[in-house]
Amino acid sequence: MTDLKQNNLNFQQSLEEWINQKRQTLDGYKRNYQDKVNALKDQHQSLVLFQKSLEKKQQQLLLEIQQYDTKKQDLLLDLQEINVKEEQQYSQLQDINRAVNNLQLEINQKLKEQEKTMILQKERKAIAQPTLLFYQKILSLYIQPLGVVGCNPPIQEMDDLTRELNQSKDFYGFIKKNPSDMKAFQVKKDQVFANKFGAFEHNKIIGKQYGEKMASKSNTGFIYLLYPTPELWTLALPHRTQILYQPDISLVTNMLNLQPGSVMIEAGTGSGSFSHSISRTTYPNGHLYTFEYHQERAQKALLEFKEHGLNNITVEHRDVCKNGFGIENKVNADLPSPWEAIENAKRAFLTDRIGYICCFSPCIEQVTRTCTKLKEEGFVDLSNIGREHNVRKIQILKLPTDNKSVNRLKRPNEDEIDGVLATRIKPQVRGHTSFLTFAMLLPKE
Amino acid sequence: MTRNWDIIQQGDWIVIKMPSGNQKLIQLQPNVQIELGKFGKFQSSELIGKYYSVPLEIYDRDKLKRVENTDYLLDFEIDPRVETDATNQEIFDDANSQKLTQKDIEEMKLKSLDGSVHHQTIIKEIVSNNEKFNEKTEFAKAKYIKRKVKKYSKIFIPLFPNARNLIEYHNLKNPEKIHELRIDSLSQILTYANVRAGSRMLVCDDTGGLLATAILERTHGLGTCYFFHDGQNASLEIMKCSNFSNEVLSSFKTFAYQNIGKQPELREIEEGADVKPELIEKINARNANIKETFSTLEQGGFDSLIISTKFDTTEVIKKLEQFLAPSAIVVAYSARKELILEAYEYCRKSPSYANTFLTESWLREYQVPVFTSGTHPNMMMSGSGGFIFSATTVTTPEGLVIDKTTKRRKTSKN
Repeated sequence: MTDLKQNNLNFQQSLEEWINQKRQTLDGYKRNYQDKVNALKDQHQSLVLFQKSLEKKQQQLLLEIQQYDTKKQDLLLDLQEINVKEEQQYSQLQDINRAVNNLQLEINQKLKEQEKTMILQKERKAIAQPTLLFYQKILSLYIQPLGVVGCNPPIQEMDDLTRELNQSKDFYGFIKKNPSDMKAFQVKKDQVFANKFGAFEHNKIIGKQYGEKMASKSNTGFIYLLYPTPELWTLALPHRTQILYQPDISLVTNMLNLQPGSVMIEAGTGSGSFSHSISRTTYPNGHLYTFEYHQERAQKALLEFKEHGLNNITVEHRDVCKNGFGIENKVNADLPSPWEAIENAKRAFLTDRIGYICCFSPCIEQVTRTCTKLKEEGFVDLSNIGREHNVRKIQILKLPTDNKSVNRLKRPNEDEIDGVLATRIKPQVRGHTSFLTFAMLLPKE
Repeated sequence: MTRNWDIIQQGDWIVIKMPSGNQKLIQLQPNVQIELGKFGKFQSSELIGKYYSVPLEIYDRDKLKRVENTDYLLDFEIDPRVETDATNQEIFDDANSQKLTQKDIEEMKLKSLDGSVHHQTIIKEIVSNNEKFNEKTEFAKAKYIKRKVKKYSKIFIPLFPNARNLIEYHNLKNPEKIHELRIDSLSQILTYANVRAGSRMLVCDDTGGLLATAILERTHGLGTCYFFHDGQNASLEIMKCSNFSNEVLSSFKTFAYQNIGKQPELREIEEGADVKPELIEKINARNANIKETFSTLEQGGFDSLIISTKFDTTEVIKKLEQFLAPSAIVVAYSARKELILEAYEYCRKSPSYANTFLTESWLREYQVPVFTSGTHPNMMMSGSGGFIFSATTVTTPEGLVIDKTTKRRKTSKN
């Protein structure tokens, strides 16, 4: 038995030792575990702290975002306001422009109508008055030191309207054999006009009629005093540039449909030959805007138009190729490079009327460029009139049929010889002036 | 209300220019179908409010609309500037080149008139069915398409009947009627005679009123125009087609040659006759008018005398020169030189005329050089624009004697 008890005691002891060992290890484990738990707790705390700090940061950022949002909204609102204001101002501007344009149109219309009625009234009055009054009227109007001529009554009526055209410049052609002897001058007191036919005192001219033949001082020569017309002026004017002659002028006038009331732009005043004709054709209620890029010529032209009393011309010193025109609806471009002016010309036309344009070019290459540009700008109905016009001066020679002598009489007395009327054409004629290119700009719908 | 003369209105006369080059002159009546033959027809009311000179297309059987693109070549994308290798060396004249039969084309034409087929479709069909089309040069393609356009297009242009367009119209129809006037001759007549607002003119015009029309365009009714004629009434067929307003026509007076120098025939009212007062007023007004016409002519002092007459020009000048003021201008036109030679001689020799000249003008039209590489004169050109003779009246005061034999005294040594 004691062996068993001893065994039991040993077993118990060993068991207790094992248990103690195990307890120790368990304690160790517990301690470890505690340490770990403590460590974890510390970590947890620090993490919690970290999280809190992160949350704080997040809140701050949210606040900032909110602030930015509000700022952005404010800016957007401001932008909107500005846009709205801009639109308002823009529409106001447009309204004002429209109103101004309408007013201008109204004013122009009314002015035109007024002028027309005034002229019609004037004309009717002039016809109704008896002859005596005419003469009195003439005398009081015309006794001026410049350009005084007595007239037949109906010429006075014409002069009432056209006196403004050709007020104080008297023309006289001395046509002996050929109109190249034609000269123009202004009648002034105490002056004398001298030429190969003699000396002619202005004082004696004053009081004569237009169309009168006048003898020179020494009675050896004579001249005719002719009423000034643009045709005579073209033949007599001082050339500052190559000018347009009447055949070109008259064709362009018709092709551009110029009439009283037409408004025309002339690019390239030159010596003013065409300008006089346009002024006469568009009188009384039309207008000519003429542009010249050479300053001296522009000034001379301005002076000339003033002296001649042409009050429906506006001369401007301007390079139209670079700077454009202003307004209105018929354009004539007599420039070295008209295609440069065409774009600007297009802007000058009214959009509810047909615009006519004519370009002058002596060379065919210029014509090609002009036509291409016209087509690009939308001009239609281009027609090219090769103005190789020959105005052939046809002279009449009477052919003596004298069967007695072989020699032709040097100066036959035409009434005494038998003859036939025959014509010949001058051997040298002005063959080519320019190619004329015509086009139309159609009105917009 | 001033009228915009570029817009068509009821009652206007219109010159219609058709794609084939032919022209037609019509007056715009209300509610009428205007027929252009094979080019179609349309309601007259469609024209009102449209612009002159703007091309119009007939569509949907009888309506009109404005055409923006008038260049068919653009529709077919043909640019003659493009260089190709094509030549016409291998292109032979073969009737079988066109695959469409006459019948097909006729059918399409009828459909086009109906409005169900667009005219451009016809042309496209013809072009695409032509075997040799793509072998042509670009120029030849352009020419081919232009020929088809002339036949099948339904685009026309309404033109205002001003002097320029009326001359073109009458040149096509009956050039002799307008004495073969050409636009440059007419314009020269107007400028030599210094025609402008306010001028007083005597006109002897047997062209049916074409000269008078051109003159009234330039005066707008300001001034006076006496139109001389034979017989009872003046023949003014051309002038009535010119859309002049009454204002303008009020300055225009007709006068018979046989009445020159005579007293006016007035309609007298017998005393005690049973006539309504309105009728008496009318007759009195008419009498006053006639008296005024005669007396204004007798007063004379006219600025210019413009002649294009069937009568002898010299006789006309001799009869009417008494009414001209000094420094007035006589301009006479004739298609035949010989008919105005005598007048030229008369004026040249007469002491009451100066600056006499006789001219002829030469005019040549050139092809418009757009897209093409160059320009050349048109093959058919106007043969002549007639002859214009002009003279200015002058006066010699009594007692004026020029002694040409006296020479300037030279200082003599003796």
